[in-house]
Amino acid sequence: MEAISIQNLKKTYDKFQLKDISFSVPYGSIVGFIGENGAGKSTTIKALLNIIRRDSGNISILGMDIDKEEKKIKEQIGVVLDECNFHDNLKVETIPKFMKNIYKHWENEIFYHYLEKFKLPADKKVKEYSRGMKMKLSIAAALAHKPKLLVLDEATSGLDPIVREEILDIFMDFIQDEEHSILMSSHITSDLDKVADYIAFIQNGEMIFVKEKDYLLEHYGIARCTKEEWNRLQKDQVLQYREGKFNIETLVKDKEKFLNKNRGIVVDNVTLEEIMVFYIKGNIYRE
Amino acid sequence: MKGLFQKDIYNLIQQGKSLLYIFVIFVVVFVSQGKADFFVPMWITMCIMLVTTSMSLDGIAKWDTYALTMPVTRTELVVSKYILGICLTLFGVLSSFCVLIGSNFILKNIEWKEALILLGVASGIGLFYLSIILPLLFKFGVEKARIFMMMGYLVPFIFIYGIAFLAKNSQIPIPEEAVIEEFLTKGIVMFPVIGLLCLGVSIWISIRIFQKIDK
Repeated sequence: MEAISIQNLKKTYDKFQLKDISFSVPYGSIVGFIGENGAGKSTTIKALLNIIRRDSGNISILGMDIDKEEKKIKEQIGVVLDECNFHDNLKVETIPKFMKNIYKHWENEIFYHYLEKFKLPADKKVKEYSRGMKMKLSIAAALAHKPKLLVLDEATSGLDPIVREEILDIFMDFIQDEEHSILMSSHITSDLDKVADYIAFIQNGEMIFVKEKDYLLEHYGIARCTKEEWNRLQKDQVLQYREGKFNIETLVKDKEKFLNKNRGIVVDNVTLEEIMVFYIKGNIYRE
Repeated sequence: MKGLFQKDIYNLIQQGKSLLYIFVIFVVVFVSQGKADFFVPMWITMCIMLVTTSMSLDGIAKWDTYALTMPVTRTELVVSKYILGICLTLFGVLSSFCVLIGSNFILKNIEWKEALILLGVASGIGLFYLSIILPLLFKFGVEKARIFMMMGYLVPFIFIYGIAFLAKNSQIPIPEEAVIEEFLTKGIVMFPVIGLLCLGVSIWISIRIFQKIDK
């Protein structure tokens, strides 16, 4: 069973459309949801959580239909959006006072444990916190009601590497429980290189691929060749290519198979960021 | 819903200092001049307007989007604002009543029948105003709804002055003073009840509006 199952999700706006989005988040895994700005990550997450009304598609979370058991589902998920949504004038110590009356399983001890861990002073107002502190506060609030699923929408954007590392460590701790899962949207692919099990890539409202991260990093590669070499290449492993002035860079889906058929061509390892750039800036290869 | 209401109260308490200053200034200015009855509608209106302050603060924090990720329904989000409005009206009425008692104790100048009529009418009109403005706030947001809010202040005045002008310049007979007084006496209870009934219809409209909005 899956923690999240999205099937054929569609949502249309005037100038943008989510087209048949389907993917899942297995229990006990972290799925990194990547795409450039405006690709549809936040729209997908909002549709997943019923914050926006989808045109069609089926969504189940923790084995329950979001349309039928929304409140029960939301008791068990912690959400962190791209900015802190607690009011600036609130003192941090008042947050658990009303949150415990929203979530049945809210525990003040857990909230204050994370405040202490993150070194966040409870007697300050939210507006006195830095951006990184506000994000940590949002994470503390998301974890304080013992969720089974975390949904993070650009939760580490705009944070320095030290804070991001701290936050990623928290997520790795969270996922130690096999019943816990995380869906994490980000365009900071280096974070997902470290923690994700699966990568779902969206572009212009369309799902491009959903694959295991390790598979992508082990099998995908970048081949570089001259234009003459390109004409002689066996191109069955070619996914995307980018033409430069003097050479062509190629994204291949299986380095080993490509090298077996194209000896003498240099093939380098690839990062998630490079894969994303190829899909966004490159050209699809069609035979 | 209790959590949502608590959140609003904690937020408004932070605004409390400036409100307290206004309260003290109003009391000093109006009560010292023996015009505590002027204070009543103004103070009740100020209290009711705190609902729009609450929605404005929610808008700045993008709270509604976040709240919809919680085990909170759209209906609960809407109803919590109406409960806040009713509680703030009650607070305005009770605090005004305390000021009237204090003023009478010091200056012995309160005509209690008139004062109670004023409390009833002011709270009724305030609740009616809320019933108009809240659906607009849910539909358009605080920024875009400001023009409607300003019109909401002017419409009752235009209506009352318009009626008075027409009555003065036409052949329509003006009711006798006794009839008006009886109407207003019944209004102590009638106006707030009508205001609450209007709120009931307004809640239904606001829920329909909010259920269709993408946040």
